[in-house]
Amino acid sequence: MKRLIIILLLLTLSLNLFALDSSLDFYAYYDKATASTAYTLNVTLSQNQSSLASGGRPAVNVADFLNTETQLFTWTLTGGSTNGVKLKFISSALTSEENNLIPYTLGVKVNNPTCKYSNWYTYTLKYNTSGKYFLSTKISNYYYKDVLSFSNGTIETVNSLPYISKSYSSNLSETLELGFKFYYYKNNNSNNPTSYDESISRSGTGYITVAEPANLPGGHYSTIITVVLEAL
Amino acid sequence: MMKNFKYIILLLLASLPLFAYTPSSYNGLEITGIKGATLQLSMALDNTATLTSNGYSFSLQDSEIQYLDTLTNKTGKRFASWYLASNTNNITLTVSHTPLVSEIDSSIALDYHLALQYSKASPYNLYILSNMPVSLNFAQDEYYKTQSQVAITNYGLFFRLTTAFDTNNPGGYYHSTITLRVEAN
Repeated sequence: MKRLIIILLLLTLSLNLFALDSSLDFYAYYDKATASTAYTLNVTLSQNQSSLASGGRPAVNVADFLNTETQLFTWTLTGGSTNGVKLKFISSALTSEENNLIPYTLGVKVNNPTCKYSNWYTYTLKYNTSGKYFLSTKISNYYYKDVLSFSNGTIETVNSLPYISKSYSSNLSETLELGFKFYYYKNNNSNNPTSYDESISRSGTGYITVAEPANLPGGHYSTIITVVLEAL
Repeated sequence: MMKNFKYIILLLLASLPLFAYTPSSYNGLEITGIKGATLQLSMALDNTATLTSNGYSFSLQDSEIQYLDTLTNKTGKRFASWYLASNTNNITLTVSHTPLVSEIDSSIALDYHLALQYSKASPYNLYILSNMPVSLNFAQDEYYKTQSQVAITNYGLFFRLTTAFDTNNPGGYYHSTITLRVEAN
């Protein structure tokens, strides 16, 4: 009996050896921002790029920007999505190595949109009751509307085009967001808009205006403006 | 002066044998033998370099993993390998996997075909859907029933979606777990 128990125990042990598990975890990734290859964003500095050679610091005098709106960059985006796209301008105040801050205002001008059918040779900037701005035009019997939304900034019109601005005054990152959503209507059937976004391109310019700094030491003051394109 | 010089020569001579007798490194020869029943089972991701830098095995936009509306060539993208060693063919392999779940929204669960290559002869692969385990008895398989043992090294695991990928799905990471189990019959 004792031997039988030992044999059974040995058999149990050997059976356990013959049951093995193995598991494998893996991750896949969906990079939604590049879900459509149609998206592109280009930001080009308007200032002389050769002056950026020294550690990325523009060799320009802040005094040049004092109370003077100066064009800093141009931007262009193409493509879109059913739900629209968003541009983010992330930045903070101009900061010295001694952590002194010079606030500045970023102004973003949105040019007249273009689509593959025609340039928008006529346009109107309107403000609707839901607080959205939009540009609209009519080509033949087709109506196009590009709804512009924004957050953390203020809007005005310059030469009938939207101009959104935001002040960056702290050493913490803040974000100005611009949203674009393009609609296409046939025969003004505005009850049934058809998103028709992928062919449109938008462009604009960025401007910097620096307020007079009070009693701040001279030296290098710098900031980074990160421009991000997001599909919505 | 001459006396000091002699001491220096003697010290030099004394130090030389120390170097001469330093044993050189040596290696033993390791031999592994197997006595009785044995079983080894493991899996590994192919793309560990990518995992280090980007943290994922493949992109859901990869053309190799997209749904195909045909019953042929469903194998998909190879992303991992597996290993099985058994000195008997009287074993059963059970394969299962969870769906690929979004880490942002756990209600988004993508079903996929896992193709597990197990044989050098047709039909080559097992196809496994999410949460539907598939078992294989090697003793009854056309190829392995003539083999006294099972030795699978670096065979592939392949991924393909079972439906068209919805681009409205949330971006970010998606996670799944594959489980293999081998039991003696």
